[in-house]
Amino acid sequence: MQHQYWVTKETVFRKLGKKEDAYIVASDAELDAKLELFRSIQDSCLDLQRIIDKYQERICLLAQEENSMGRFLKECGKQDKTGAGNMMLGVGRTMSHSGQQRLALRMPLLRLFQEVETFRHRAIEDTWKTVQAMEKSRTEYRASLSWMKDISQELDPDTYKQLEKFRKVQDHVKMTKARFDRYKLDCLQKIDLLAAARCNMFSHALITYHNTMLQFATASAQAFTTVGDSFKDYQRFEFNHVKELSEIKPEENSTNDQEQDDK
Amino acid sequence: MTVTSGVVNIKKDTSNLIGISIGGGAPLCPCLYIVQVFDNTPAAKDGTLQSGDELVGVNGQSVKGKTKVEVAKMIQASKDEVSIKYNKLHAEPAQGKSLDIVLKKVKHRLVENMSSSTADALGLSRAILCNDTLVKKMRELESVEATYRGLVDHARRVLKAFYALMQVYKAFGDVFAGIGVREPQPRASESFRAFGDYHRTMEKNGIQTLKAIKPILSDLGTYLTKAIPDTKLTIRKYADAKFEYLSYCLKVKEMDDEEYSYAALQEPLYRVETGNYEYRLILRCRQEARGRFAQLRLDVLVKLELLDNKHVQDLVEQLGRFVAAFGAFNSNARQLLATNALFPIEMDLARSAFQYNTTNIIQVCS
Repeated sequence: MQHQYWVTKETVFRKLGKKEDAYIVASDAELDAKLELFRSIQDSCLDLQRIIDKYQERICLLAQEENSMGRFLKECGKQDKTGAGNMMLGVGRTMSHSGQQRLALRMPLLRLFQEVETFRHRAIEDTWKTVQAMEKSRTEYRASLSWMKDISQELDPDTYKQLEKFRKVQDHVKMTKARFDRYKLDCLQKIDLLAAARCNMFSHALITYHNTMLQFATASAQAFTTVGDSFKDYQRFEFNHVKELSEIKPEENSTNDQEQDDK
Repeated sequence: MTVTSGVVNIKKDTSNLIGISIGGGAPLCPCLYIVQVFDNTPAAKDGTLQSGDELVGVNGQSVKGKTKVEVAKMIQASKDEVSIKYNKLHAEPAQGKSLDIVLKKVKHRLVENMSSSTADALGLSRAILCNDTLVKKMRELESVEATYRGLVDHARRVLKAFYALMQVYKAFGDVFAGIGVREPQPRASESFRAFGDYHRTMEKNGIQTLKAIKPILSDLGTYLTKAIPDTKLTIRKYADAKFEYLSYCLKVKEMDDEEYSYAALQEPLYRVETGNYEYRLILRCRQEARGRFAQLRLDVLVKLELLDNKHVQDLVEQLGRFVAAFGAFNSNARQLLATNALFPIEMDLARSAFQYNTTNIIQVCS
């Protein structure tokens, strides 16, 4: 009954964030550091999942826009018989292609998303349970410590009954400590394992992501550069009516058949 | 009407012509006059004779009372050079531009804007010359305009989507940088940090790319808002001049018809009997309208050509810049990715993993 009272008191204190004994807090420093890591893993995974979702959505969007611009350019390029038409056709093809290729990036992202989701639902959830259990045992342990402190303050070694009670409380402290230590070890191991597992997960999932990105970047860089280069020296225009300008330009007949005389 | 006379010597061209057509003359009209001066002929090059001028003599001989066929023969008969005595018509072009002409212009404009079948149904098919290739160019221009508008629109949307993706890159990079900071494994930490870093660098490159591409949009916009409307205006002016010319043509034709019908009925027409001045005035107006029309046509051709040139060069250049910017972004990304082959991460868990000082002590104690 009294034990329950101390546990409740401790819980309330912890909830209120009351300052606790510096030594007790210090003794848990390693654990608290690990808990911090756990929390960061938890938060970052949640963030990551949200961002990956947004990421793949925006890849889709960009791919769609690229594709529609490519289609539009191709359409216009077909109607435009000048060199600009050729250019539009070329650029349109590249844009569409790039849009399609971009979609390939979604696969590894979706996989990463699933991995992170699984990780969150399985590993983090499981560790979270252990952490909760550990926190409970820690509260109990601290409560028993306070209880013992309280009793020891008014301990009169001569009174047998009081001593008996002190012993009982001491036993209780030992018991809760053992349990807390067990949970603590559990917790530390699990969190470390969690971190390692996450590394492993990222390590595997990001290989494909990285490779796909590399592939995409290589291919599009190549495609865009080729298209850009193929039109780099295209600056010619055949003048028919403005004779002064047409004389400057060198002969280039293949480029232009739109400018026929309208008469 | 003031009259000045003069004599002009015109050299004939190789086909024995000086390049005028004449009208009037005996028996109906007391005078002979020039109906038309043809382009690129000696008469046109000389420039003295204009439509509506009265022909008084050929090679010093009076043409009074002669028919136009006789006078034509007189001109043809003289060798190499012919001297023509003329009375200049001093016409006010404004006089010629009567309400009739204005109405005809309106009619032409209306017919221009309807399909040929509609015009036929309404009995307006007399305006044959209406379907002009140059005015057709207007439609082409409109399609070019639509192209540009679409291009700007699409490009803007692509850039927007691109920007959104860049933001995600940054967020993605930030998360991984955060993960890297907290990661206990040093190598993994380093990898995550680098992974995050290159995403952030890609974002920076992306923003640079956007900055490089942004001016292209406004450049294309210039074409859209300045060059095309300007050319359209010129074409419209040209169309106006053409309608005016057509109206005069129509008027001439109507007057011809009137003359013929009176001649067929053997009835005198007052206008013709008194020297046909109204007719000659219209002829002169027609010639002037034709000159304006030709000038504007040239203007339009030049403008269209310049526009086409701009279109071709500009579009190629702008698209080139667009493509180059994307190409540069992608090759940068490729470079980044190639130099940052981070995964798989090698982990060394074997060291003192899962050994904890506090618990150790306690384990020893217990």
